[in-house]
Amino acid sequence: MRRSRGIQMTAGTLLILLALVYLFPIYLILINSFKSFRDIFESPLSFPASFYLDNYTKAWKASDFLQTLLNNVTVTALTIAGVVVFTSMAGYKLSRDKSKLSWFFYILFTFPFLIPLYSYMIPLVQLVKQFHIENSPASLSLIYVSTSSFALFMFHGFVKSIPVELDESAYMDGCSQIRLFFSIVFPLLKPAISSVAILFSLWTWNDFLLPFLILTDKDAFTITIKVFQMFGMYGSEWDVITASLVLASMPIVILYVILQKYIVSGIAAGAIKG
Amino acid sequence: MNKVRRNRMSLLWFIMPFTLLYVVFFLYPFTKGLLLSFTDWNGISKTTQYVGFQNYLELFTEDSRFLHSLFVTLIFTVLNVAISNICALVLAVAIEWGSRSFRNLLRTLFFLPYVFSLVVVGFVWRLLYTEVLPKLSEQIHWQFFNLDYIGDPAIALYSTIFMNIWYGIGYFLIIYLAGLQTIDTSVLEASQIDGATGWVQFTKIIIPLLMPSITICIFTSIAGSLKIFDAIFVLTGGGPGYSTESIALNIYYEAYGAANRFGYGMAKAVVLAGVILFISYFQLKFFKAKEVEV
Amino acid sequence: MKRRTSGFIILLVLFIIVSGCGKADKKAVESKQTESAAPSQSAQSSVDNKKQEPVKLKFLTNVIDYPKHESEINAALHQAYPHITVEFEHVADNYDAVLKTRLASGDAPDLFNYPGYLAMKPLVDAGQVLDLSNDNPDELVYENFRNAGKYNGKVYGVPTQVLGYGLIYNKQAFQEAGIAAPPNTLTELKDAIAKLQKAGITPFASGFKDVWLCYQMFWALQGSTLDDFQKFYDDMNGGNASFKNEKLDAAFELLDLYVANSGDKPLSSDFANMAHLVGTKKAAMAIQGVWAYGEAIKLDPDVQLGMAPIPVSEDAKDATLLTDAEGIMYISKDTKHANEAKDFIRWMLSKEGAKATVGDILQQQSAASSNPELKLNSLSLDAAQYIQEGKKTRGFMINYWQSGLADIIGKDLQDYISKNLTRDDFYKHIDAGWKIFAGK
Repeated sequence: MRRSRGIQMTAGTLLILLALVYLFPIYLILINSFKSFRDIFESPLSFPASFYLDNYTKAWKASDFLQTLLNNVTVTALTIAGVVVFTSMAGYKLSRDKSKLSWFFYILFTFPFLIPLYSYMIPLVQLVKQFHIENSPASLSLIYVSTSSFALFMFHGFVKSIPVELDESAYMDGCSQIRLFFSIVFPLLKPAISSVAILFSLWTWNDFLLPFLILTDKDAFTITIKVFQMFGMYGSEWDVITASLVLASMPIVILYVILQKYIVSGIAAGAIKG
Repeated sequence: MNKVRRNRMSLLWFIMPFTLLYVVFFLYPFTKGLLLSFTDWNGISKTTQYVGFQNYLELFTEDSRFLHSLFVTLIFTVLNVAISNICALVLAVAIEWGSRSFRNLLRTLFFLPYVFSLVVVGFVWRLLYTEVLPKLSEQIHWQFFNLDYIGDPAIALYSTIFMNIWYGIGYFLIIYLAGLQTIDTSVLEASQIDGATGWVQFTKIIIPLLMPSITICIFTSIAGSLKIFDAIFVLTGGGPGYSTESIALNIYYEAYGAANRFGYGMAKAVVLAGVILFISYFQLKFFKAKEVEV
Repeated sequence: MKRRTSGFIILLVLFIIVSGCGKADKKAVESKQTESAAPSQSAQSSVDNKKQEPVKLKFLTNVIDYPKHESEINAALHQAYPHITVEFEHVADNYDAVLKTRLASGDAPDLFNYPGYLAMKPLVDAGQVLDLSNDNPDELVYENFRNAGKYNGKVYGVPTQVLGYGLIYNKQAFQEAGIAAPPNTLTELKDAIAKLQKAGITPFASGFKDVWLCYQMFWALQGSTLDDFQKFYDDMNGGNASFKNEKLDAAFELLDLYVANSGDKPLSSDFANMAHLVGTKKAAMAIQGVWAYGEAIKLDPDVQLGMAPIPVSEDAKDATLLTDAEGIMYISKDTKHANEAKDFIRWMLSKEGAKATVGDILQQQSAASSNPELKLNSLSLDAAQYIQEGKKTRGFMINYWQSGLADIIGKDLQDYISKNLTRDDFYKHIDAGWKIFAGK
C-alpha cells in the first residue's frame, strides 16, 4: 500500500525518535563508561565532561580481554562448524526419509529445544568432569551441538524446498550418499546455513548458564562469564563495570553492524522455513 | 527388503554424528537426572537413598515456594508473550506501511538489544532502575520514575518482564516484517477499494496471513519464557524475597543454593520439563489447526 | 561409502579429542608436576631445597579484595615459596552454591573459604575437606580463635582474619546532627534518628538487596540476644526449640527502625551502595562489618568512620560488638597439591604472609599468633580497641546455623522487610528450614 511521502516522512521520523528512546539504556552505558566513579554516582545522566579512559584500561586488564575474546571466538567457531555439519546431515536425511524410524528420531531430537538446560545440568556437569573436558572451548561446543535441535528443524524444513530429483538421480548412480550430500545438497543449503550460523553465533556468543557451570578456569572464561564475575568482584563500581559491558559487547555489535543484512535475512528465513 | 535395510543404514549413518552427541550430552544426563529425581541425593554425600515418589509428593503438597515459582513463571510467560508479540506486530505494521523507506534503519535499531548478552542487559537495567531513573525523576519531577523497580516485591517481577520485552522485541520484529513482506499488497488494495478500514484490514487480512509468523513467534517466546533464567538471575536474583523467583531459579537454588537437594531439584526439573512439553504440544496443535483454517 | 563414513567417525572422534586437548595439555603438565613433586617431597628430608616444579593453587574465596590484589600477594608469597602461585577466584552471590557445586562435580578448588565451627559439618561429614590435625595448625592461630577451625576434636580449617561487626557510623554526620556518642540503647537510637532527620541526613543505609546482607543483619539481631550459641544449636537439633524468643523479638525493633529510616527503597540498595551512602554522608549509619571500609571510603577517602556496639534493647549492657575469626581456609580432599596448600596456609599465618594479606590489603586484625605488623583501618581499629578494653563481644551466629540456612534466612528477611511476611511467620519459616537442613 502506498502512503504519501509526507505521511511516510512523519511516521518515519516518529518511529526513529521512538527507536532512539528505545536505545536509551545503551546510550546510558556508553556515556557512563567514560565517566569517573564519582561522576556516575552523582549524575548518571549527564554527558561526560571529558572522556575519561581509565575505566577502559582497568576493564581491559581486569577482563583479560584478548584471551577472553579468543575463547569466545573459538567456542563460537567450533559450535557453528559442528552444528552446521552435523545437523544439516541429520536434518537432510530425516527430511528425505519418510520411514517411521526417521519420524521417531525427529521427534526425539526436538526435546532439547524444549527441555531447558537446568533440568539436566547437574548430571551433565558431572559427566563433563568425568571426561576431563571442563574448561575447554571444544567441550562447550560439543554440548551446544548436542542440543542444536533448532538448526535441525531449519535444515529439515529447508531441505523440502530442494527437488528430490536432484539427489535421487545421483543416488541411482550409486554415488556414496554422504559424498553426494556434501557435493550436491550441502551447497544448496546455503541460505539455511547462513541463518543457522548467524543465530548460533549470537546465542553461543552470549550464552551464560552453560559456560557458567562448566568453565572454572579464569583462562577459559567467555565474555559473559567474565562480565558476571567482574560484577561480583566490583559490585556497584559502575565505572569499571560500564566500561567492561561496553568492551564485552563491542565485538558482537561491530559484527552486527557489518553483517546486519545477513542477520536479518537469516532470522527471517529461519522463522519462515522452520 | 534389501533396499529398506540399506535405507535404514544410510539414515543411521547420516544421523550418527549428531545422535552420538545427543545421546552423550543430552539423553544420558537427562535420563540420569530422571532417575536421580527418585533419590535424596544431595550432591556431596556418598550415600544416596531411593525415596520413591516422595520428592514429587513434597513439591506439590508442602512446597509453597515451588508453587509460587510456578505462578511467577506463568505471569512472566503470559505477559512476556502477549506484550512482546503485540508490540512487535504493531511496530512491524507501522514500519512496513508507515515508513518503508526507513525500514532497514528502524529494524537495525530495534534489533540492537538482542545482540547483547542477557547478562549485559541485566546489568544495564540494574543501573537504569537503581541509579538513573530515580535521578531522572528528581530532575523532571515525574514520580513514575521514582518507583522502587527492583526493590518492591509488587513491582520487581514487572520490571524483569519489561526488561525482557525490551530485549526480545527486535527478534520478533524481524520475523513479522519478513512475514508482512510476503503479503501480496494487491489483496490489501482490493480490500481498500471494498471500503475496508485499517482495523478491519489488520484483523481480517493481515493477522490471518501472518499466522505462520505468529505461530513461530509465540512458540519461541513461550518456550523461552517458561525457561527464563538469565534475565531474572542477573537483575534480581529472584528477589526481593522470593518475589521474582521463576521455576528455573527455584530449581537452581534448590540444587545449587542453600539446600543442595539435587534429587529434589531434579524432581522439580522433571515436572517443569513435563509442563513445557505439554504446553508446547497443545500449542502446536492449536496453531496448526488455525493455519489450516486460513 | 564405507571409507567416507569411517572418515566421519574419525572426524567426530577427532572433534572429541580436540575438545579434550585444551585440558589434556594442562593435565599432562599437572601430572608431570605431581610426579616430580612427589619424589621431591620424600627426598626433601635428605636433599635440601631441591628445585621444585611450579605449582598453581586455586583458591575460592569470599574475600573480595584478594583477587584484586592477586599479583601483590603472589609477589610476597614468592619470597617464601617461589614455586607456589595462588590464583584467587571470588564469588559474590551464592557462594555456598558455587562451592558446593564445585565439590559435587569433582571440581574442587585446592583451597577455599567457608564459615567455621559447626557450619563446616556437612563438608566434613561428606569427607570433602582435608584433616589438618597432624600439621599442628593450632600453633599458627591466636589462642581465642582456635575453635573456629575445629570440629569433633579435629582441625579442618585455619582462620586468618578477626572481624568486627557492629554499628558503622559517619562521625561527621553525627557531629552535624549533634549526637555526642553512638547510641547504646534503642531509646538513644531513636533520639539519634530524630536528630539526624532534623539535620537532613538519612539515618540508615540499607543494602538489603543483597541476601547475604540480610542474613548478616539477622545474625546481628540473634547473636546480640543469645548467650549460648552451642546450646541453641543443640536445642534446635533436638527439635523442640525455635528461633523465636522474647529478647530477639524485642531486638526486632532495631530492624524495624532501620528499615523505616533508610530511605524509601531499602530493598534496591546493595552492599556497595550502602557503603557509598555512609561514606559520602548521605546516610549516617549502617550495621555491617569492618570489611565495608574499603568500599565506604571509595568516594571520599578522607571520611571519618567509626564502629560501635549494636543497640538491641533498652539496656546499654546488651549492646555488643560481634567479633569472630573469619576467612577460614580449608583444603579440599581432592587437591593434587596438599603439601603446597599446607605451605600456603602456613604462609598466610606467618608474620610476612599475614602482613601482606590481612594487614596490608584488608587492613584488618589477623587471627595469626605470629603477631604480624598490621595497619588497621579505622573500623578495625575501633573493633580492636573494643576487644582490648575487654568489653563483651559475641561471635558470628552463622557458624551455628545449619549450613545453607543463611540464604533462606536472608530471603525470608527480605520478605519481612517488604512486609510480605509477618514476624511470626518469619520464625516459622526459618524453624522449618532448620528442620530440612538438619535432615529431619
